[in-house]
Amino acid sequence: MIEALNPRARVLLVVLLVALLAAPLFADRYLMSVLILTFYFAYVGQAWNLMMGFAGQLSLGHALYVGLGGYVSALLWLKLGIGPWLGVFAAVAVASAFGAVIGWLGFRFGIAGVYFALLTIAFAEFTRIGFDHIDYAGAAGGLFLRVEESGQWWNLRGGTLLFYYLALALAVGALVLTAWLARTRLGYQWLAVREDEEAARALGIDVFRAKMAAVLISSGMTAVGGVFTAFYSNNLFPSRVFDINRSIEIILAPIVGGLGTVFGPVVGAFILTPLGEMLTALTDRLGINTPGVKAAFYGLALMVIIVLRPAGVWPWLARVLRLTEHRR
Amino acid sequence: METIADAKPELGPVYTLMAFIIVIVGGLGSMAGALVGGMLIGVSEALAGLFIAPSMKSMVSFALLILVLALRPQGLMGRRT
Repeated sequence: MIEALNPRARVLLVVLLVALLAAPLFADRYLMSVLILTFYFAYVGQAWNLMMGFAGQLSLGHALYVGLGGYVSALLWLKLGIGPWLGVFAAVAVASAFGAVIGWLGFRFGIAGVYFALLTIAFAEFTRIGFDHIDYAGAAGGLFLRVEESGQWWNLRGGTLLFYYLALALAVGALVLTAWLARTRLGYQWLAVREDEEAARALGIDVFRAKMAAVLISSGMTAVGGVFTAFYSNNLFPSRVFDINRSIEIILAPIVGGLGTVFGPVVGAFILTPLGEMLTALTDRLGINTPGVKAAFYGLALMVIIVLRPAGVWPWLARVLRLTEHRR
Repeated sequence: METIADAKPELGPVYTLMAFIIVIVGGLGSMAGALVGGMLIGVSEALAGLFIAPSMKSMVSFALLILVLALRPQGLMGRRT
């Protein structure tokens, strides 16, 4: 079943988009930064959802692609003076190459499920320790990007406004791409592979090719998110970007929102990120020093969702608010 | 993995991951495999810490895991299903 929005939901979507486009007019810096983070998680969540939600391949190492994307683009800019708008192509190429190796190793022998997830963790950890020792990339001390006084959008140097619209564009772009992919031949092949690999193979679907396509698209998309986060936060540390906790953060939004749905990751990101940030701000204001409060909240949210709405919030929300036409 | 570690709430994942790697390298469902995998991972980590760099020793375990998954996905002592 593909979710098709009814006219009412489409109007709602346009209103929401216009509101987000106009948000910088009245939002303060803090709200903007929370929204940027939300868009970012909606974007990378969408990328992960293509692989897990649609093609059914569990990756617990998506931080690898974020980190590679960030490092490749940052190194190109710092060492060779190549700006991120060009560097993003190299970032996507490198991350997809890693994705291809992981996919080839895993899918060739039908390593699936937990074993494939372990392979992705192993690669992410392997790369993290590797980057800790590459002196050219700043080793464990990390990389720092210069902050230019005047906004230079062509080098992705600028204020909150630039990154706000960029993040919004990424999130909307990923949404459109996913909605389109879900209706292509490849999208339907992914669903078939996810439901029953043997049956899909019996139907004449090239299972290996379909899974590889999922990994390549997902890793490339995630790398773009890595470029964004590197230039937004202006620093990169192997122990931060490649950390397994980053991979877990990426997968929370799609799981909470609804695996294998087009709007799930967006809904999940809009639920989790603002609440998590508010909780952090609240405990800060109250003077309680609890560094793990966000992680604890995410864990709790995950448990509540799995118990109450295993299919995610979006399918339930769409049913209650009657947002989708049911086309079977 | 350290020989001496503090007791702290986030202690677990390192050991879980390591146990997982050992089982996959040795072969899932094979008791002898777990022993062989454990010895292999443990000794190679210790040697890597001695000859390469202590901070890079877990890289060797991950490399071993990747190698085994690439060449013998059922694990060293595992049977092909």
